[in-house]
Amino acid sequence: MVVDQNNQQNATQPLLAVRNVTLHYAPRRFFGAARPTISAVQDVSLELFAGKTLALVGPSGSGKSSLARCIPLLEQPSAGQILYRGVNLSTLDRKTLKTVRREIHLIFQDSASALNPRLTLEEILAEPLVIHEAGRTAGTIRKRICEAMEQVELPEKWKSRRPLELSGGQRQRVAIARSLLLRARVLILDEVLSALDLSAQGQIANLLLALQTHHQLAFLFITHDLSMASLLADEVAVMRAGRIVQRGSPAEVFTVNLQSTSSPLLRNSPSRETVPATLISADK
Amino acid sequence: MQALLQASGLHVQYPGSQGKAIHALNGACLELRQGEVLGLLGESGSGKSTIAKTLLRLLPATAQLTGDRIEFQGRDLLKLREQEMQKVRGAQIAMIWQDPGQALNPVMKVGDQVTEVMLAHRGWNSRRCRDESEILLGRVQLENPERRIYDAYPHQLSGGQQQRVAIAQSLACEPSLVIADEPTSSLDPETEDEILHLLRAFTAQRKVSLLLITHDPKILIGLASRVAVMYGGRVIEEGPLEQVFQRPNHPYTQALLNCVPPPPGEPKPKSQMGLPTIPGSALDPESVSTGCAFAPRCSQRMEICEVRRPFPVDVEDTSRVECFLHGG
Repeated sequence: MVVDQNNQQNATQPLLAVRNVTLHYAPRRFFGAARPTISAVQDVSLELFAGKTLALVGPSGSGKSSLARCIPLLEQPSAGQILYRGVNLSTLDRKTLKTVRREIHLIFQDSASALNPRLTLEEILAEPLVIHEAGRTAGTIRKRICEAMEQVELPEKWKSRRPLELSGGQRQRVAIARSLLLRARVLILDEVLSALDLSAQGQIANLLLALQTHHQLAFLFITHDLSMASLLADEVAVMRAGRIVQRGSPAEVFTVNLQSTSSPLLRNSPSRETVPATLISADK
Repeated sequence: MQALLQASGLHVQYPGSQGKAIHALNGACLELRQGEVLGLLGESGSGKSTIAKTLLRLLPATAQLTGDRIEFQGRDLLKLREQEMQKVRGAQIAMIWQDPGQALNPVMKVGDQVTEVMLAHRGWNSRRCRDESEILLGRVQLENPERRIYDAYPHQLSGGQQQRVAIAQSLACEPSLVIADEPTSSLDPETEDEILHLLRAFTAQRKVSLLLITHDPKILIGLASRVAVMYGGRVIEEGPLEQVFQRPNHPYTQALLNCVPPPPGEPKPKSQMGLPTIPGSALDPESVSTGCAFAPRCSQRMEICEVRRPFPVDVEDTSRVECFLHGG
């Protein structure tokens, strides 16, 4: 079975590969009138490696989140393949796909709506274990929850709190803890830092980097924050109108624009010169 | 420059859990001058949005507001009756909200939503209000050759276009003050750039004062002339942007600015990639501190910081800071 394969992947072999994926949305007919098909993703290929981060940047509506939903087959691609450890996910039966999905996790921007507000943290964290590891004793589940909370630096005494009693950064820690509980190998981080303050962004980014080093996790970091993409990624892919239009190291993709000012912050001002040309529409 | 708005000693409390009160504002003071762009900077929960709602007296009924005064164009807004306040909102002080998708009425044409503001305040007939709205929508660069933007519903527009409608709505009555609460936080960088450019152009052309609320210092560069930094429901430092950003006085301002990531294109080796953060967690709004609210997280904390709150002191004649390190 796919998940029983040796975790020690060859560094040159991708853990997850997206091959020529296309996703069309066919809108419902509106009072009998046909509407045109929307191409959200067109012929996209990319690879994720263990212990590495690929940043996917692009404007709103460029297809980043649609692609993210295709990877664990939450959306069935119209064409192309998703290969996890070399196996095409579309060919797997439902039971095997469930075991694969525990290793590929999506973490969303809006942590408040990603977590059930009626449940306590303990119940939220126990849920994936109950679904994927049925038969575990309550004691084992409690122990695993405590370990996961410790890894994401959440105090154990907060187990009885509910999501809306936590800050945005703390809720993102809960979402990350949920992935760790199932020993996920691939994290698809869809704008996970966008809704956070600068300090909380730094804290969550540091946590993700530490966990990546410790567990050799592969990250697909979807963002429109070019500074964070440049800082966290090993490779950057620029997406526009459903296609990947540029790929390379952060240094290659972002033109360095050092201005002569003493303040690092003032050097940080939004400038077209640091934005990849592929991100700026031709009509501007 | 003449003061347009002076607010002092603003306290706002919400009912919290188990009978405790949530202290959203703890004696906040704010001054905005005629025609200036003031950036209001701070983390979530620092009281930025509460101060905006307080200035417009749009707080929920459960909130308790006490304050010395909110003087706007010679009138104390705290003393106005609700009917008088309705004449101020939209006409003299306008608001641009963070999420234009929620701020606009989903079942009303966007053009009619701009016209509605004019009908309420300008005393023009509906024909003239409609014509002026169309002109205004064109000025915020909302043009579509295939379909009139005026007749579009909010869901038919992108986030950037919706925010342009909100800007047109806020300028409909040529107010003296526009409050923009995180107007670009839900937009991608390209659209953010366009909206900031638009705000910059309008404030310069029409001499409108702008209170720009944000948690991201980068947004303020090239737009704000002065910055006020909030923490724990108080403005703890304020001064000209260049001065505050290059020589921050308060340890919180220093820590916050230190968290700004370097510009794209300056990658660091992974071993040195730890991002700077502010130690500790944000202030618990249910706790009341007799000392400086930032003291528990401050690396330069002294004994007195936990005993009493520092007084505001002037620094370099142009800035003001609340910190014992500067004699507060």
